[in-house]
Amino acid sequence: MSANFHSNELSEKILSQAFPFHLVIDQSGEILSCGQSLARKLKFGEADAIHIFDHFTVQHPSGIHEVSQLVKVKNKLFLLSSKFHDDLVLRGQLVVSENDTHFVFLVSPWITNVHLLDKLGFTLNDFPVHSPMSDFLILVQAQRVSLNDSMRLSDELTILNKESEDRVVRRTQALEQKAQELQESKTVLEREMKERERVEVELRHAQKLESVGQLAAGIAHEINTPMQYIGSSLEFLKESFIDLKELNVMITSYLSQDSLKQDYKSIKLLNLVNEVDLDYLCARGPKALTRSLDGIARVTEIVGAMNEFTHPDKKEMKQADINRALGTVLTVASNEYKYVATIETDFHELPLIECHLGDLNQVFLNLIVNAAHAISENNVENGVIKISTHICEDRVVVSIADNGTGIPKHIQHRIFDPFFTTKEVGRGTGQGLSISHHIIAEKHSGRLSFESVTGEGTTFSVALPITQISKQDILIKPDDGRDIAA
Amino acid sequence: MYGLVNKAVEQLVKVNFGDDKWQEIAKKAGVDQTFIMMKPYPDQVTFDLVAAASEVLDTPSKDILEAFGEHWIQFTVDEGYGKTMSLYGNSVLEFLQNMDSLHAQIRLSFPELRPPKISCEQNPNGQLVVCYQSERAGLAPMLVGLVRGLGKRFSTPVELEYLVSAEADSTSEKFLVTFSQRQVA
Ligand code: HEM
Repeated sequence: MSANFHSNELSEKILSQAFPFHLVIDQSGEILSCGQSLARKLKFGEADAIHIFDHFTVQHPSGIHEVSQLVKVKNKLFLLSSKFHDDLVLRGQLVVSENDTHFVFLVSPWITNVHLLDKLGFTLNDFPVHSPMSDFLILVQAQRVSLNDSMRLSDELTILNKESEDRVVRRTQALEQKAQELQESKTVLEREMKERERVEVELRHAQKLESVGQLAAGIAHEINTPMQYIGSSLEFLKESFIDLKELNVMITSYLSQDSLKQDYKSIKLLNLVNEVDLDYLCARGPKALTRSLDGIARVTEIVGAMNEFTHPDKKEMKQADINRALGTVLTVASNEYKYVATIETDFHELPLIECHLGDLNQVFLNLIVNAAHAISENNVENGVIKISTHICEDRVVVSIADNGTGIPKHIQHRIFDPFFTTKEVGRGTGQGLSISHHIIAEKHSGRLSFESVTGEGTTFSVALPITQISKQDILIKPDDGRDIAA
Repeated sequence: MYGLVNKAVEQLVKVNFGDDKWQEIAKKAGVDQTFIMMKPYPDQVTFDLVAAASEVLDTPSKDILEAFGEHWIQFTVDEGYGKTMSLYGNSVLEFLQNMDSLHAQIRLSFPELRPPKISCEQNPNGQLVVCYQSERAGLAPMLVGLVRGLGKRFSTPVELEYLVSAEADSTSEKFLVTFSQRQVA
């Protein structure tokens, strides 16, 4: 190191640059010089004579009130607090000149937090370049960033926590709902399986009915032929009786001649005629034969009706007479109603209508059987089923009215539902009205409706269009006449 | 790079394009954690974020980096580094000349910082020539944004021009900075 360097070479200017907050006082305590940043802050003028203790209190070391005491505490950590500026505390060290004539406070503001800097009105430029103030600021800043980081992380954690709690709650709810849905679909499935079973039973029943129907059709045909010749034979016999009657009269009047009264052969013949009771035979025979012929006619009628009723439907519609169809159904179903009700018909003349007759037969049968059941349930003595037909605009309307139990209001909206039934097991499948509705509304573009009063009876009406609007009629042909289907 | 950088990318995206876009970008970049600002992360994380942002926002990486650089000036001020910045100059020139000192001081709280070397001189035309040298490749566009941001900070808008038109993955670059208009104080 250079031996030429002396302390007095450290000019006041350099001192002020290096320690812009320093203070130099003499033995009396008067401030001789002051660093530029501090001078600016304290607004010290060049000419002012200011005593150190007028302006500052020695905060540390404690108990120093006089300049004479300073010599003892040189090189110690010093804290000077301003009497005029709150928060301004100068921190540093006291250096004393060789012969104790001057005291130099090498101090700068004690900055304990960043805001203090602003509060005191200092900027970083007030500090010497070598000051660690900017490093201090960086470190304080780092601390702040870290604190912000951890606060943010803690917030995020809280939110995440809450979210995951919510998620657990939502999951649980979703699971519970799934379980409930599962339970519901199980119930639905069970119901569907039951219904399926019922449909299967119904189907088997229907198949049986179909084969019975076919059988009946076959039997009807088989019965028809012998019936025909039994009928004609009986007719023949009936004709023969006319001759026989004539013969009887002739024989009787011939034998009653006086000339023959003693004739042995004639007497024998007369005895024989009396024995045979030819009179009685002639009187009763034709009647018996007429009854038999009536019976045959009835059998033929029933067989014919059965044949007509069971005749399988073709795919296309056919022209049919609804009055006649109703008659057929009444014949076939007579066993169902004849013990509970009388039938009153009021058939008006109707045009032939386009329909699937087999299907319509089934509907009419169904409605008539239902009417009979309703009457028997109502336990009325004079059960009546009134069946009438008439034309209403372009429709044929059939109405079937009974004086049975009626349909309770609360189930009226359900009677066309599949499988809905009020009948005890075995009496009905609950399919009848649903199928009937399907046949009338869907297959024939008609309408099946009813009016009912509980305890008084029900009237079902079937309205059927006389002509069906076929799909071909709806097809609009393009202008050039080409067929779309082609 | 420090989480501070990644956090700034996150904030840039969120403020300009919304949280959903950020989620999409983070997912694409394979980022599933929240960034801690004072913790160093592998550089690749930042590069992946920039690449994902470029894809999701359908914007070239270069533009993303420029926007990021410009955003950085305001972001650091918002994060509390304004005072420190004000220590290092009152003009673009002065500031860029002090950049290395600034980063050196920053290292006090970011011990693993690997900042670029930046130097700056003014030519007789009043333009600045900025030399940038980094340990990382491809970040030159970020400097473009940064210098623009500084131009704004000192109310002297600038335009930049690449002097060494290097490849995308170069680690050093030279720029010519022209002041768009003289701001009258
Ligand atoms: C107080 C303000 C600033 C802070 C706190 C800061 C901090 C950082 C940090 C943490 C990094 C990441 C490097 C690493 O993690 O290794 C970085 C990189 C960088 N900084 Fe700064 N910076 C500041 C201002 C600036 C300014 C004003 C410029 C522009 C001239 C700048 C230029 C860069 C560049 C270009 C990089 C990218 C690193 C590379 O090129 O390799 N920084 N800075």
